Amino acid sequence: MSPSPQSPSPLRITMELNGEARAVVVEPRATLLEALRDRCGLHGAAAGCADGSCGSCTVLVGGEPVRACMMLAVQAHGTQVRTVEGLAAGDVLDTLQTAFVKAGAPQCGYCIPGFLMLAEGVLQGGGRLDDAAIDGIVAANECRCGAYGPIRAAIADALAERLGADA
Amino acid sequence: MPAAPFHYHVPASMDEAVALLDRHGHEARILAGGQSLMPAMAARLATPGHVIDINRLSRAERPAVTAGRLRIPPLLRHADCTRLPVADPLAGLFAELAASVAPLPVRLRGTFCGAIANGDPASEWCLAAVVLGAEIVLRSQARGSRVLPADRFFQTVQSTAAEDNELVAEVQVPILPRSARTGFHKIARRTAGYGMALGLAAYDLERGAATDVRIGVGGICEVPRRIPAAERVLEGRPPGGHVFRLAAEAAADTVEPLATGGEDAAYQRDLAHAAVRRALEATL
Repeated sequence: MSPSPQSPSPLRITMELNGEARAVVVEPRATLLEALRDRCGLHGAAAGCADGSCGSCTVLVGGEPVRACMMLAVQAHGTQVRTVEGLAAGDVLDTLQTAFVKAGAPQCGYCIPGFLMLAEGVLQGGGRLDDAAIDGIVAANECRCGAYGPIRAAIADALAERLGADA
Repeated sequence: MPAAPFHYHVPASMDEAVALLDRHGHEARILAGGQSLMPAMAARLATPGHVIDINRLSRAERPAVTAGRLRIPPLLRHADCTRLPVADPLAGLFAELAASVAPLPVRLRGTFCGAIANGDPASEWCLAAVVLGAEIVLRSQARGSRVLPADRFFQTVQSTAAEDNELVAEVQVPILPRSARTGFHKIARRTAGYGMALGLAAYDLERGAATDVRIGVGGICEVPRRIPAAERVLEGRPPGGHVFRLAAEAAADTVEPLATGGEDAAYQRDLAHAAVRRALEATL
Protein backbone atom coordinates (compact mmCIF):
# COMPACT_ATOMS: atom_id res chain seq x y z
CA MET A 1 0.00 0.00 0.00
CA SER A 2 1.43 3.33 -0.98
CA PRO A 3 1.35 6.11 1.64
CA SER A 4 -1.41 8.64 1.04
CA PRO A 5 -0.19 11.58 -1.02
CA GLN A 6 -0.77 15.14 0.02
CA SER A 7 -4.36 15.89 -0.93
CA PRO A 8 -4.24 16.57 -4.67
CA SER A 9 -5.71 19.92 -5.61
CA PRO A 10 -9.27 20.00 -6.91
CA LEU A 11 -9.64 20.70 -10.60
CA ARG A 12 -12.12 23.01 -12.29
CA ILE A 13 -13.37 21.47 -15.49
CA THR A 14 -15.69 22.88 -18.12
CA MET A 15 -17.75 20.99 -20.62
CA GLU A 16 -20.80 21.40 -22.81
CA LEU A 17 -23.38 19.26 -21.05
CA ASN A 18 -26.59 18.56 -22.99
CA GLY A 19 -25.97 21.70 -25.01
CA GLU A 20 -25.20 24.01 -22.11
CA ALA A 21 -21.85 25.23 -20.83
CA ARG A 22 -21.14 23.75 -17.41
CA ALA A 23 -18.30 24.07 -14.92
CA VAL A 24 -17.66 21.64 -12.08
CA VAL A 25 -14.98 21.31 -9.45
CA VAL A 26 -13.76 17.76 -8.92
CA GLU A 27 -10.92 15.84 -7.35
CA PRO A 28 -8.64 14.22 -9.93
CA ARG A 29 -9.94 10.79 -8.90
CA ALA A 30 -13.59 11.64 -9.62
CA THR A 31 -15.08 9.65 -12.48
CA LEU A 32 -17.28 11.29 -15.09
CA LEU A 33 -20.15 9.24 -13.65
CA GLU A 34 -19.60 10.68 -10.17
CA ALA A 35 -19.38 14.20 -11.60
CA LEU A 36 -22.63 13.80 -13.55
CA ARG A 37 -24.56 12.29 -10.66
CA ASP A 38 -23.10 14.11 -7.64
CA ARG A 39 -22.11 17.49 -9.08
CA CYS A 40 -24.58 17.95 -11.93
CA GLY A 41 -27.61 16.26 -10.43
CA LEU A 42 -28.12 14.01 -13.47
CA HIS A 43 -29.12 10.61 -12.15
CA GLY A 44 -30.02 8.84 -15.39
CA ALA A 45 -26.57 7.31 -15.72
CA ALA A 46 -26.32 4.63 -13.02
CA ALA A 47 -23.54 2.84 -11.15
CA GLY A 48 -24.61 -0.75 -11.70
CA CYS A 49 -21.57 -2.95 -11.35
CA ALA A 50 -18.41 -1.24 -10.00
CA ASP A 51 -16.26 -2.99 -12.61
CA GLY A 52 -17.17 -1.44 -15.95
CA SER A 53 -19.10 -4.44 -17.21
CA CYS A 54 -22.78 -3.46 -17.10
CA GLY A 55 -22.92 -0.29 -19.25
CA SER A 56 -25.70 1.37 -17.22
CA CYS A 57 -23.43 4.42 -16.95
CA THR A 58 -23.12 4.90 -20.72
CA VAL A 59 -23.18 8.52 -21.92
CA LEU A 60 -21.93 10.26 -25.06
CA VAL A 61 -18.62 12.14 -25.03
CA GLY A 62 -17.77 13.85 -28.29
CA GLY A 63 -20.61 11.85 -29.84
CA GLU A 64 -19.11 8.50 -28.87
CA PRO A 65 -20.63 6.10 -26.33
CA VAL A 66 -18.44 5.92 -23.23
CA ARG A 67 -18.82 4.11 -19.92
CA ALA A 68 -18.71 7.10 -17.59
CA CYS A 69 -17.49 4.99 -14.65
CA MET A 70 -14.29 4.27 -16.58
CA MET A 71 -13.48 7.83 -17.55
CA LEU A 72 -12.10 10.46 -15.22
CA ALA A 73 -14.21 13.63 -15.01
CA VAL A 74 -11.09 15.65 -15.81
CA GLN A 75 -10.81 13.76 -19.10
CA ALA A 76 -14.16 15.25 -20.14
CA HIS A 77 -12.79 18.78 -19.81
CA GLY A 78 -13.44 20.68 -23.03
CA THR A 79 -15.73 18.02 -24.49
CA GLN A 80 -19.39 17.78 -25.42
CA VAL A 81 -21.23 15.41 -23.11
CA ARG A 82 -24.76 14.16 -23.68
CA THR A 83 -26.79 12.21 -21.18
CA VAL A 84 -30.27 10.69 -21.27
CA GLU A 85 -31.67 13.87 -19.75
CA GLY A 86 -30.75 15.64 -22.99
CA LEU A 87 -32.62 13.33 -25.36
CA ALA A 88 -36.14 14.65 -24.98
CA ALA A 89 -37.09 18.15 -26.12
CA GLY A 90 -38.96 19.29 -23.05
CA ASP A 91 -41.83 16.82 -22.73
CA VAL A 92 -41.46 15.46 -26.24
CA LEU A 93 -39.65 12.10 -26.35
CA ASP A 94 -37.24 11.51 -29.20
CA THR A 95 -37.50 8.65 -31.73
CA LEU A 96 -35.41 6.23 -29.68
CA GLN A 97 -37.25 6.88 -26.44
CA THR A 98 -40.61 6.52 -28.20
CA ALA A 99 -39.49 3.23 -29.73
CA PHE A 100 -38.36 1.94 -26.33
CA VAL A 101 -41.68 2.80 -24.74
CA LYS A 102 -43.65 1.31 -27.62
CA ALA A 103 -41.70 -1.95 -27.42
CA GLY A 104 -42.25 -2.24 -23.68
CA ALA A 105 -38.50 -2.20 -23.06
CA PRO A 106 -38.39 -0.29 -19.75
CA GLN A 107 -39.13 -2.65 -16.85
CA CYS A 108 -37.35 -1.49 -13.70
CA GLY A 109 -35.78 1.21 -15.84
CA TYR A 110 -32.26 0.90 -14.44
CA CYS A 111 -30.50 -0.10 -17.66
CA ILE A 112 -32.54 2.07 -19.98
CA PRO A 113 -30.51 5.31 -19.94
CA GLY A 114 -27.36 3.34 -20.71
CA PHE A 115 -29.02 1.48 -23.58
CA LEU A 116 -30.56 4.69 -24.93
CA MET A 117 -27.24 6.54 -24.99
CA LEU A 118 -25.39 3.56 -26.47
CA ALA A 119 -28.01 3.23 -29.21
CA GLU A 120 -28.03 6.99 -29.76
CA GLY A 121 -24.27 7.00 -30.16
CA VAL A 122 -24.37 4.19 -32.69
CA LEU A 123 -27.41 5.40 -34.63
CA GLN A 124 -26.26 8.99 -34.95
CA GLY A 125 -23.23 7.69 -36.82
CA GLY A 126 -25.67 7.12 -39.65
CA GLY A 127 -25.84 4.25 -42.08
CA ARG A 128 -27.41 0.85 -41.99
CA LEU A 129 -26.77 -1.59 -39.21
CA ASP A 130 -26.92 -5.29 -39.97
CA ASP A 131 -28.35 -7.85 -37.55
CA ALA A 132 -24.91 -8.58 -36.11
CA ALA A 133 -24.38 -4.89 -35.36
CA ILE A 134 -27.76 -4.60 -33.63
CA ASP A 135 -26.99 -7.78 -31.68
CA GLY A 136 -23.70 -6.16 -30.66
CA ILE A 137 -25.52 -3.17 -29.17
CA VAL A 138 -27.95 -5.34 -27.25
CA ALA A 139 -25.17 -7.61 -25.97
CA ALA A 140 -23.04 -4.67 -24.82
CA ASN A 141 -25.05 -3.76 -21.72
CA GLU A 142 -26.74 -5.74 -18.98
CA CYS A 143 -30.48 -5.76 -18.37
CA ARG A 144 -31.10 -7.63 -15.16
CA CYS A 145 -34.82 -7.75 -15.88
CA GLY A 146 -33.96 -9.73 -19.01
CA ALA A 147 -35.82 -7.42 -21.41
CA TYR A 148 -33.28 -7.87 -24.21
CA GLY A 149 -36.00 -8.88 -26.67
CA PRO A 150 -38.01 -5.66 -26.41
CA ILE A 151 -34.77 -3.63 -26.22
CA ARG A 152 -33.60 -5.19 -29.46
CA ALA A 153 -36.97 -4.61 -31.11
CA ALA A 154 -36.91 -0.95 -30.02
CA ILE A 155 -33.44 -0.36 -31.47
CA ALA A 156 -34.31 -2.05 -34.76
CA ASP A 157 -37.52 -0.04 -34.92
CA ALA A 158 -35.74 3.27 -34.24
CA LEU A 159 -33.11 2.43 -36.85
CA ALA A 160 -35.77 1.72 -39.46
CA GLU A 161 -37.51 4.96 -38.55
CA ARG A 162 -34.31 6.98 -38.95
CA LEU A 163 -33.45 5.33 -42.25
CA GLY A 164 -36.99 5.98 -43.45
CA ALA A 165 -36.77 9.61 -42.39
CA ASP A 166 -33.49 10.04 -44.28
CA ALA A 167 -34.83 8.36 -47.45
CA MET B 1 -15.85 2.69 -4.19
CA PRO B 2 -14.04 5.89 -5.15
CA ALA B 3 -10.43 5.44 -6.18
CA ALA B 4 -7.77 6.34 -3.63
CA PRO B 5 -6.66 9.97 -4.11
CA PHE B 6 -3.95 10.62 -6.66
CA HIS B 7 -2.09 13.41 -8.39
CA TYR B 8 -3.01 13.71 -12.04
CA HIS B 9 -0.44 14.44 -14.74
CA VAL B 10 -0.89 15.10 -18.45
CA PRO B 11 2.51 14.88 -20.16
CA ALA B 12 2.87 16.67 -23.48
CA SER B 13 5.45 14.24 -24.82
CA MET B 14 6.62 10.67 -24.41
CA ASP B 15 9.86 12.02 -22.88
CA GLU B 16 7.82 13.80 -20.24
CA ALA B 17 5.77 10.66 -19.61
CA VAL B 18 8.82 8.48 -18.94
CA ALA B 19 10.38 11.23 -16.82
CA LEU B 20 7.27 11.20 -14.63
CA LEU B 21 7.41 7.40 -14.44
CA ASP B 22 11.03 7.60 -13.43
CA ARG B 23 10.33 10.15 -10.71
CA HIS B 24 7.36 8.30 -9.20
CA GLY B 25 8.23 4.66 -9.93
CA HIS B 26 5.87 2.17 -8.37
CA GLU B 27 3.59 4.98 -7.18
CA ALA B 28 2.69 5.83 -10.76
CA ARG B 29 0.44 4.20 -13.33
CA ILE B 30 -0.02 5.05 -16.98
CA LEU B 31 -3.62 5.90 -17.95
CA ALA B 32 -4.33 5.18 -21.61
CA GLY B 33 -7.80 3.75 -22.35
CA GLY B 34 -8.48 3.21 -18.66
CA GLN B 35 -10.72 0.22 -19.34
CA SER B 36 -8.59 -1.96 -17.06
CA LEU B 37 -7.00 0.63 -14.75
CA MET B 38 -10.22 2.47 -13.84
CA PRO B 39 -12.05 -0.64 -12.52
CA ALA B 40 -8.85 -1.69 -10.72
CA MET B 41 -8.66 1.70 -9.02
CA ALA B 42 -12.38 1.60 -8.18
CA ALA B 43 -11.80 -1.72 -6.44
CA ARG B 44 -8.62 -0.32 -4.89
CA LEU B 45 -6.65 -3.22 -6.34
CA ALA B 46 -4.52 -0.42 -7.77
CA THR B 47 -3.82 2.60 -5.59
CA PRO B 48 -1.32 4.74 -7.49
CA GLY B 49 -0.43 8.08 -5.92
CA HIS B 50 0.22 9.43 -9.43
CA VAL B 51 -1.74 8.83 -12.62
CA ILE B 52 -0.04 9.74 -15.89
CA ASP B 53 -2.64 10.36 -18.58
CA ILE B 54 -1.05 9.83 -22.01
CA ASN B 55 -4.19 10.54 -24.04
CA ARG B 56 -2.87 13.90 -25.26
CA LEU B 57 0.11 12.32 -27.01
CA SER B 58 -1.32 12.65 -30.52
CA ARG B 59 1.75 11.15 -32.14
CA ALA B 60 1.11 7.96 -30.18
CA GLU B 61 -1.94 7.06 -32.26
CA ARG B 62 -0.70 6.04 -35.69
CA PRO B 63 0.36 2.52 -36.58
CA ALA B 64 3.18 2.06 -39.05
CA VAL B 65 4.69 -0.71 -41.14
CA THR B 66 8.45 -1.08 -41.27
CA ALA B 67 10.48 -3.96 -42.64
CA GLY B 68 7.70 -6.52 -42.59
CA ARG B 69 6.46 -5.60 -39.13
CA LEU B 70 3.30 -3.87 -38.00
CA ARG B 71 4.24 -1.32 -35.36
CA ILE B 72 1.49 -0.60 -32.86
CA PRO B 73 1.71 2.65 -30.87
CA PRO B 74 0.46 3.23 -27.29
CA LEU B 75 -2.83 4.94 -28.20
CA LEU B 76 -4.08 2.61 -30.92
CA ARG B 77 -7.60 1.79 -29.68
CA HIS B 78 -9.10 -1.69 -30.03
CA ALA B 79 -11.62 -0.24 -32.50
CA ASP B 80 -8.77 1.12 -34.65
CA CYS B 81 -7.49 -2.42 -35.13
CA THR B 82 -10.28 -3.05 -37.63
CA ARG B 83 -8.56 -0.87 -40.23
CA LEU B 84 -4.82 -1.32 -40.07
CA PRO B 85 -2.41 -0.48 -42.91
CA VAL B 86 -1.69 -4.15 -43.62
CA ALA B 87 -3.06 -6.77 -45.99
CA ASP B 88 -4.93 -9.97 -45.23
CA PRO B 89 -4.69 -12.35 -43.51
CA LEU B 90 -3.30 -10.19 -40.70
CA ALA B 91 -5.84 -7.40 -41.36
CA GLY B 92 -8.78 -9.79 -41.22
CA LEU B 93 -7.45 -11.54 -38.12
CA PHE B 94 -6.96 -8.26 -36.26
CA ALA B 95 -10.45 -7.09 -37.21
CA GLU B 96 -11.88 -10.33 -35.84
CA LEU B 97 -9.86 -10.09 -32.63
CA ALA B 98 -10.81 -6.42 -32.17
CA ALA B 99 -14.53 -7.22 -32.39
CA SER B 100 -14.06 -9.94 -29.78
CA VAL B 101 -12.18 -7.90 -27.16
CA ALA B 102 -15.11 -6.08 -25.56
CA PRO B 103 -18.34 -4.20 -26.28
CA LEU B 104 -18.20 -1.04 -28.39
CA PRO B 105 -17.71 1.65 -25.70
CA VAL B 106 -14.76 -0.30 -24.27
CA ARG B 107 -13.30 -0.80 -27.77
CA LEU B 108 -13.46 2.94 -28.47
CA ARG B 109 -11.27 3.81 -25.50
CA GLY B 110 -9.25 0.74 -24.55
CA THR B 111 -5.89 0.29 -26.28
CA PHE B 112 -3.91 -2.59 -27.74
CA CYS B 113 -0.74 -1.63 -25.83
CA GLY B 114 -2.75 -1.18 -22.65
CA ALA B 115 -4.00 -4.76 -22.96
CA ILE B 116 -0.40 -5.93 -23.47
CA ALA B 117 0.78 -3.99 -20.42
CA ASN B 118 -2.11 -5.41 -18.37
CA GLY B 119 -1.06 -8.96 -19.25
CA ASP B 120 -4.39 -10.72 -18.78
CA PRO B 121 -4.10 -14.33 -19.99
CA ALA B 122 -7.60 -14.04 -21.51
CA SER B 123 -6.68 -11.03 -23.65
CA GLU B 124 -6.98 -11.46 -27.42
CA TRP B 125 -3.98 -9.20 -28.03
CA CYS B 126 -1.75 -10.96 -25.50
CA LEU B 127 -2.55 -14.28 -27.16
CA ALA B 128 -1.95 -12.84 -30.63
CA ALA B 129 1.37 -11.36 -29.52
CA VAL B 130 2.57 -14.75 -28.30
CA VAL B 131 1.26 -16.77 -31.24
CA LEU B 132 2.51 -14.37 -33.91
CA GLY B 133 5.91 -13.86 -32.28
CA ALA B 134 5.48 -10.16 -31.52
CA GLU B 135 8.07 -8.07 -29.71
CA ILE B 136 7.31 -5.61 -26.92
CA VAL B 137 9.27 -2.37 -26.89
CA LEU B 138 9.65 -0.98 -23.38
CA ARG B 139 10.81 2.54 -22.74
CA SER B 140 12.18 4.21 -19.63
CA GLN B 141 14.17 7.31 -18.90
CA ALA B 142 16.89 5.27 -17.20
CA ARG B 143 17.40 2.61 -19.88
CA GLY B 144 16.03 4.09 -23.08
CA SER B 145 14.38 1.32 -25.07
CA ARG B 146 14.62 -2.42 -24.73
CA VAL B 147 12.84 -5.15 -26.64
CA LEU B 148 11.39 -8.39 -25.31
CA PRO B 149 9.73 -11.21 -27.22
CA ALA B 150 6.11 -11.61 -26.11
CA ASP B 151 6.63 -15.07 -24.64
CA ARG B 152 9.25 -13.62 -22.26
CA PHE B 153 7.24 -10.50 -21.53
CA PHE B 154 4.22 -12.21 -19.94
CA GLN B 155 5.36 -13.84 -16.69
CA THR B 156 2.19 -14.77 -14.83
CA VAL B 157 -1.39 -13.54 -14.48
CA GLN B 158 -1.38 -9.75 -15.04
CA SER B 159 2.33 -9.64 -14.30
CA THR B 160 4.85 -8.73 -16.96
CA ALA B 161 8.56 -8.11 -17.25
CA ALA B 162 8.01 -4.32 -17.42
CA GLU B 163 9.74 -2.51 -14.57
CA ASP B 164 7.87 0.14 -12.56
CA ASN B 165 9.59 2.93 -14.48
CA GLU B 166 8.91 1.46 -17.93
CA LEU B 167 5.98 1.84 -20.28
CA VAL B 168 4.99 -0.17 -23.34
CA ALA B 169 6.09 2.18 -26.11
CA GLU B 170 5.30 -0.07 -29.07
CA VAL B 171 4.42 -3.62 -30.03
CA GLN B 172 5.88 -4.97 -33.23
CA VAL B 173 4.00 -7.78 -34.98
CA PRO B 174 5.56 -9.71 -37.87
CA ILE B 175 3.27 -9.53 -40.87
CA LEU B 176 1.92 -12.92 -41.94
CA PRO B 177 2.52 -13.99 -45.55
CA ARG B 178 -0.44 -13.64 -47.93
CA SER B 179 -0.68 -17.42 -48.20
CA ALA B 180 -1.09 -17.91 -44.45
CA ARG B 181 -4.32 -19.11 -42.90
CA THR B 182 -5.59 -17.96 -39.52
CA GLY B 183 -8.40 -19.02 -37.22
CA PHE B 184 -9.70 -17.71 -33.91
CA HIS B 185 -12.32 -18.88 -31.45
CA LYS B 186 -13.32 -17.56 -28.06
CA ILE B 187 -15.60 -19.24 -25.54
CA ALA B 188 -17.29 -16.72 -23.28
CA ARG B 189 -20.56 -16.29 -21.42
CA ARG B 190 -21.36 -13.02 -23.20
CA THR B 191 -20.76 -11.81 -26.74
CA ALA B 192 -17.42 -9.97 -26.62
CA GLY B 193 -17.27 -10.88 -22.94
CA TYR B 194 -14.42 -12.09 -20.77
CA GLY B 195 -12.92 -15.17 -22.38
CA MET B 196 -13.09 -18.51 -20.61
CA ALA B 197 -10.88 -19.97 -23.33
CA LEU B 198 -9.37 -18.58 -26.51
CA GLY B 199 -7.81 -20.51 -29.38
CA LEU B 200 -5.68 -18.92 -32.08
CA ALA B 201 -4.14 -20.82 -34.98
CA ALA B 202 -1.99 -19.73 -37.91
CA TYR B 203 -0.03 -21.64 -40.50
CA ASP B 204 1.35 -21.27 -43.96
CA LEU B 205 0.61 -23.75 -46.73
CA GLU B 206 3.23 -25.39 -48.94
CA ARG B 207 1.99 -27.88 -51.53
CA GLY B 208 -1.10 -28.55 -49.42
CA ALA B 209 0.77 -29.13 -46.16
CA ALA B 210 0.71 -26.83 -43.13
CA THR B 211 4.06 -25.24 -42.28
CA ASP B 212 5.19 -22.79 -39.61
CA VAL B 213 2.26 -23.94 -37.52
CA ARG B 214 1.32 -21.78 -34.58
CA ILE B 215 -1.36 -22.84 -32.13
CA GLY B 216 -2.01 -20.88 -28.95
CA VAL B 217 -4.42 -20.95 -26.04
CA GLY B 218 -5.53 -18.09 -23.80
CA GLY B 219 -7.58 -17.89 -20.64
CA ILE B 220 -6.54 -21.35 -19.46
CA CYS B 221 -2.96 -21.01 -18.22
CA GLU B 222 -1.30 -18.24 -16.23
CA VAL B 223 -0.16 -16.64 -19.49
CA PRO B 224 -1.23 -17.12 -23.11
CA ARG B 225 0.87 -19.93 -24.54
CA ARG B 226 1.76 -21.64 -27.78
CA ILE B 227 1.27 -25.40 -27.52
CA PRO B 228 4.21 -27.11 -29.26
CA ALA B 229 2.66 -30.57 -28.84
CA ALA B 230 -0.38 -29.44 -30.83
CA GLU B 231 1.74 -27.65 -33.42
CA ARG B 232 3.84 -30.78 -34.04
CA VAL B 233 0.68 -32.75 -34.83
CA LEU B 234 -0.22 -30.42 -37.69
CA GLU B 235 3.24 -29.45 -38.94
CA GLY B 236 3.88 -30.88 -42.40
CA ARG B 237 0.41 -32.42 -42.74
CA PRO B 238 -2.60 -31.32 -44.79
CA PRO B 239 -4.99 -29.31 -42.62
CA GLY B 240 -8.35 -30.93 -41.99
CA GLY B 241 -10.79 -32.52 -39.56
CA HIS B 242 -8.92 -35.56 -38.24
CA VAL B 243 -5.57 -33.79 -37.79
CA PHE B 244 -7.32 -30.87 -36.13
CA ARG B 245 -8.94 -33.19 -33.58
CA LEU B 246 -5.59 -34.78 -32.80
CA ALA B 247 -4.00 -31.36 -32.36
CA ALA B 248 -6.82 -30.28 -30.06
CA GLU B 249 -6.35 -33.43 -27.97
CA ALA B 250 -2.64 -32.74 -27.69
CA ALA B 251 -3.43 -29.21 -26.53
CA ALA B 252 -5.90 -30.43 -23.90
CA ASP B 253 -3.39 -33.00 -22.62
CA THR B 254 -0.45 -30.63 -22.28
CA VAL B 255 -1.92 -27.32 -21.03
CA GLU B 256 -1.43 -26.47 -17.37
CA PRO B 257 -4.78 -24.99 -16.32
CA LEU B 258 -5.04 -22.28 -13.73
CA ALA B 259 -8.24 -23.87 -12.38
CA THR B 260 -9.49 -20.67 -10.73
CA GLY B 261 -12.64 -18.62 -11.12
CA GLY B 262 -14.91 -21.57 -10.41
CA GLU B 263 -13.69 -23.74 -13.25
CA ASP B 264 -11.91 -26.97 -12.38
CA ALA B 265 -8.88 -28.23 -14.28
CA ALA B 266 -10.75 -30.94 -16.20
CA TYR B 267 -13.31 -28.42 -17.46
CA GLN B 268 -10.52 -26.05 -18.47
CA ARG B 269 -8.84 -28.82 -20.46
CA ASP B 270 -12.17 -29.43 -22.17
CA LEU B 271 -12.48 -25.71 -22.94
CA ALA B 272 -8.93 -25.67 -24.33
CA HIS B 273 -9.76 -28.66 -26.53
CA ALA B 274 -12.85 -26.95 -27.93
CA ALA B 275 -11.17 -23.57 -28.43
CA VAL B 276 -8.23 -25.10 -30.29
CA ARG B 277 -10.39 -27.38 -32.44
CA ARG B 278 -12.73 -24.55 -33.41
CA ALA B 279 -9.89 -22.13 -34.09
CA LEU B 280 -8.29 -24.72 -36.40
CA GLU B 281 -11.58 -25.35 -38.17
CA ALA B 282 -11.91 -21.61 -38.68
CA THR B 283 -8.69 -21.64 -40.72
CA LEU B 284 -10.41 -23.54 -43.53
